[in-house]
Amino acid sequence: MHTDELITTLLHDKFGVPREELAPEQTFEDLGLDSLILVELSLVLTKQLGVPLADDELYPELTLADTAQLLADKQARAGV
Amino acid sequence: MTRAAVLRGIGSYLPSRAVSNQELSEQLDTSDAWIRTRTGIGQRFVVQPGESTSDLAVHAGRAALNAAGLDDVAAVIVATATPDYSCPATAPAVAARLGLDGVGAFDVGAVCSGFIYALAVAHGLVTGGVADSVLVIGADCFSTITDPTDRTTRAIFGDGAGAMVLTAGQRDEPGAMLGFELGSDGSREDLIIVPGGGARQRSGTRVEDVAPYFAMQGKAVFMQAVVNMAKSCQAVLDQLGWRPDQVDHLVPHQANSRILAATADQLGLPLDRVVSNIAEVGNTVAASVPLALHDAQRAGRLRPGQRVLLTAFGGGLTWGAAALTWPHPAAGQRNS
Repeated sequence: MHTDELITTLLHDKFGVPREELAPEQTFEDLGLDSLILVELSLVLTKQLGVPLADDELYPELTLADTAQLLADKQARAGV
Repeated sequence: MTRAAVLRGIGSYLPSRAVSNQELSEQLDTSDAWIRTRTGIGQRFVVQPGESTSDLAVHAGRAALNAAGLDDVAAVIVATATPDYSCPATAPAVAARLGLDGVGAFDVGAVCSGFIYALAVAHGLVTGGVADSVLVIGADCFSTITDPTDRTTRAIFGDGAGAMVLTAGQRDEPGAMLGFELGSDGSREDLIIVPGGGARQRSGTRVEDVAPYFAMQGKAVFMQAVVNMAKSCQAVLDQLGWRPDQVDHLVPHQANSRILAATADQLGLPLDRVVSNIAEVGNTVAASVPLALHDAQRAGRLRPGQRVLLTAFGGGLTWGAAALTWPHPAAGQRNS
């Protein structure tokens, strides 16, 4: 699964964000996701992708598109 | 057959004064909704003026001894980060007040991991033949060290005590402690800390700069807690050859309801296997695990022979996990 698809699937399935709100240019802040949710999301992404995410790499101003790119870059560097 | 430390009785104690989210929202810039969504906590109990950790520990210890049908044990361990005094330890006074004259008594300091650490030590005392029976108590009153103006720590922490009596038995008995994993990372001692009041401050020159109150970095702690509790649980599961789906009950330290959920998720355990009473008592630090277990037992949730996995994470940083099977009720148990 591409990282952008993974993010939107997780945000919908695990964190209850309505599908119609999940646009690439939306930030986490736009979606009303607090800092603890970002930590929870980081944990799930780390587990699913096998690449570590530190507790401060996802922040409220990050867009979904940026996040997908960040994760894809990490995967590429890790050779995953 | 192998010697083991076997759980014979469990007890707990909460101080009488309940503080609701509503009451906190009248004193601080917070709300019931904010506290519940971020932590899952609805209320916490706090000590009365003059009431201290040993008082809570004695009540819980007495309840555990009664549940076990015992008057005597050979050792007393108190896990706490809020001892009555920085010197001496709290356990000897607790032992004396329980009528346990002359027994070995000491404190274990691992903040929220304290009870798991203390269980591991008790297991060592029993299986090593140093003591045939041990009273293990987790007791804390963090209401005495949180900043009255800090809405986060005042919302999270509650006071209380829980206790277990372990005596020598066999590994295949229901109630036997079966496996342990303990860990630490002292390079992050700064994440969960009371900076003032200790030797570091007293030996320094700028005494007035060091804060006397408890401080915690929530986001970093959240992630470290979930990762390390899941890792130590997996290590114990591997030790015992248990699959995650074979765990009947997971009892994590009750730090925050979202940490509990995230930990279960990391382990691949359904949320209904998680024991939680955080809504009613908050984060009671070293008392958290035995309080949650005692609560589950009184609710009729735990059956003899069931596989129970305990885990915790706390200041140090420290973490750990322990596994046991749940015991039959003690034949000679008395009402507290």
